[in-house]
Order: sequence, then structure tokens, then C-alpha cells
Amino acid sequence: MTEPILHRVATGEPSALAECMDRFGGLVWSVARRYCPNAAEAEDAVQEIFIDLWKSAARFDEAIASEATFVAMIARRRLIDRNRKRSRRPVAATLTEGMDVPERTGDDSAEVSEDARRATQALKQLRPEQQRVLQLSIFHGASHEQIARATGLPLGTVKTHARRGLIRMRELLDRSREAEDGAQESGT
Amino acid sequence: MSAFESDILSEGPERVRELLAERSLFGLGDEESAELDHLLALHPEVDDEAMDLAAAALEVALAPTPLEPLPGAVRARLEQSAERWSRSPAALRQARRLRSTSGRDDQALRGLSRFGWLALAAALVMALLAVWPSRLAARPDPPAVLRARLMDQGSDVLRVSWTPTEDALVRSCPAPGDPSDTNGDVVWSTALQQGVMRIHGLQPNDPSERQYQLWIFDAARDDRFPVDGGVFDIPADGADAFVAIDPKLDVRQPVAFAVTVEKPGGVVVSDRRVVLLAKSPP
Repeated sequence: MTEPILHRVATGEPSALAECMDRFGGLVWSVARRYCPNAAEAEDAVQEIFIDLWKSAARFDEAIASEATFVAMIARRRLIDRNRKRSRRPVAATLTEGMDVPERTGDDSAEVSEDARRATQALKQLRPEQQRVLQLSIFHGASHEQIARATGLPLGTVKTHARRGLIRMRELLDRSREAEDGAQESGT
Repeated sequence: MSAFESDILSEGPERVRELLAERSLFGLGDEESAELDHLLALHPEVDDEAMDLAAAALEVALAPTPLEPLPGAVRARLEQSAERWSRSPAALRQARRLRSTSGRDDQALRGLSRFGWLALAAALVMALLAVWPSRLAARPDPPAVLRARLMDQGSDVLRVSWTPTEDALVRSCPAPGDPSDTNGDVVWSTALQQGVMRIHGLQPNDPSERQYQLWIFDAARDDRFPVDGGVFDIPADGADAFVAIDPKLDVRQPVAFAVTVEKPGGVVVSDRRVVLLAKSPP
């Protein structure tokens, strides 16, 4: 398990900010590129996201989420806010039919892989139409309208699948975490 | 209760979850955002960060691997931002607060040699002698005195009554207004950044098992992150408890105060077991 960095960021350790950029720069850049229409906007967004992250670092609680998930949450909030202010949601990648859940093959830290594993498993348990809508929303940063055009689903149906899909995701993640916690307790 | 409030209470947390999911995926417009704020105040049991974390977990899961590294120019600009941030008052204040509550200082003290201890003790005596008179003069008022002083001051001061929740730690009697009911108020001055809670009838706590923590919802900040107003205890003497508010950040537009039950020492992100809620008038 990688040593947490956000508490060190919050306490002002001189090397922690650089280490934070080393560790999460790629993740933040990847998310920003998918949500922003061009590299210049992504660069500005990355600045804002890291400043949000440093301000929020003290709030990180490893009992609730991994650092990667916390960083992604801060990034998503900022990017969604920027996109709403821009009043349009550009899609960096082409929306295609029948996208699969991307498989992770990199050598990421254990905590990223753990988050990825739980979330991927939860996604696969959703109804296929919920999976597609969530992938288009989260992986491609697509709006309701763009998802409706890409899938041929009515707008209201897209909204329903998105909301119910994420609510179900949350329930599955909670169950998964509880089951793992229970297994750990019974194993000790 | 208005018909509108009756409707949304009957819809219950399901509508809150829908709005939270929508916010996490697409963001909310002004109208839905206001609706969500209102519903969250009525349903403090709902974790308003859970959907954001679920979407973020999926974001991490779907991120391509290997991740494209941060471009050099972006990194260089970010390092300049980091330099500015590390010198900012907000960063320095946060660091001071966290260091004062962490065990890192204890570790450093344990590492001192005997000579180091003697030197440190001498320095502390000198420092105490140097600041003693001014510290005596600056000693804060007891909370009950501070409360009276704030209320006398008038103009800027906000005073709101607690609304107890149905938590088991809240003493609720069949007849509202019964003196043994849980009640009290919050008195707060934004100009002075000072305030006091008066609490009557909340169940005393064993600080080794759990503590109460105040959260201040500030309209000038992201409502998902209320300001930590400090950890406190309720003694078993049955008297009204007066607790000075200790905000960890500046509070500019307080709209609500909530007391939660937390593990000893408090938390940075609450799971929001709310026992008392006080909302500012609109």
C-alpha cells in the first residue's frame, strides 16, 4: 500500500506538494483532458483542481475512500462546475456504440487498483443500459443530450438510467466494502 | 408544515439521492441546487458525498492505463501555484492547526536528548515569563460570559434555536416545551468570528467513547464541506452546557449549525449522525 500523501500536504510538509503532483498528476490530467474541449482549458482546469485539492487535503479520510478516489472526486466537481459555466459539455472522445468497460492493465498503486476493482465489479452488475449511460457520462463526460443522441434513448430515460445507475453503484460499493471489512474482521 | 414540505418529506431521501446522483454526474441548475439544499436540511441522515465518491471511484476505474503523464509545461506552472499556495495564510493556518493536533510534535519531543530537554525546559520558562502578563490579560471569557457579551453587542449577532432530531441521544418529552426537553441556541458573531452554543438536555458523553462536534454550514462555501466548529463534551451534571464555538476556517455567511456524534477527537469528514440542528432565518 502506498503511503498516504494528502495528510502530509495538509500539514504543509515541503516535499508533499511535489509528491502529490507526481502521484496524481496523471490521473487529474487524464480526467481533465476528457472533460475539456482542448488542451488549454485542461491546463487551466488542472491548476484549479490541484489548488482545490490542497485546500481540501485535510478533509481526506482514508476510512471512507482511497486517495485516488478523493482526488478524482475533487477533480470531477471542478470539471463539472466548469462545464456548467461554459453551458455546454464537450466530449473529448467520439461517442461510439457498444463500448466495453475498459480493463486496467497498468501497474498502478495498490489503492488505485483496489478502487478500480470494486467499481468495475459494481458497474458490471448494473443493467446494460445503465452501464452504457454511466460510461458515457463518466468516461466521456457526455451530457444528457449527447448520451441521448449517441444511444437513441429518450432524454428522460437517459436521466433515469444515469440517476438510478449511480444510486445502485453506491449501494453495491457499500456492500462490497462491508463484506470486505467483515471478512477482514473474521480473519483477525 | 407547508404542503410543499409535507410533499418532500413524504418523497423522503429517494429524491435527495436522485438529486445527488444528478449533481455527481452532470451538475445541478440553480433550481435543483436550491431544492437539494432544502432537502438535505430536512434529511440530515443522507450522506451528501456518497454519490460523488461512487462516481469518482468509477472515474478511477475507467481511467486509461497507463495514465498519460502531466505535460512538463503544466507541471512547471503547477509548481509555481504550489509555491504560492504553500506561503498563503490559508495553508499556513491549516498546517499549524493540524500539526498542533498530530502526534508528529510528540515524536520530535521524544527524540530530544537529555540536554535538549533541559534547554527546552529553560526556553519554555523564559517564554512563559515573557508572555505571562499579556496572556493573563488576554485570557478568553468563559463561554457563558462570552455569550452574554455577544448578545449585548446586538447588531451583527445571530441567535438561532436548536431543533433536536430524533436521535436516541436527544431527550424528547411528550409535551413540547417541557423543561427537560433538549433545547438551547447558538449565538454567533460573524464580525468577531466568535460564538457560543447553549445546550440543555443532550445526553452526557464519555469522551473516551464518543464526542460531539459542531459543523457550520456557510453559504459562502461549498455546502458539501461545512466548517468544523470544534469538538466538545456534555457533562453529566445536568446543567445547561455553554460551549465556545471554535471554527477552523473563517465563517462568512452561516446558514445552519449542526451537532453530530463522532469518535473521540472528532473527524474531518462527518458521517452526519446529527443530534441538533439550528437554521438561520432566510
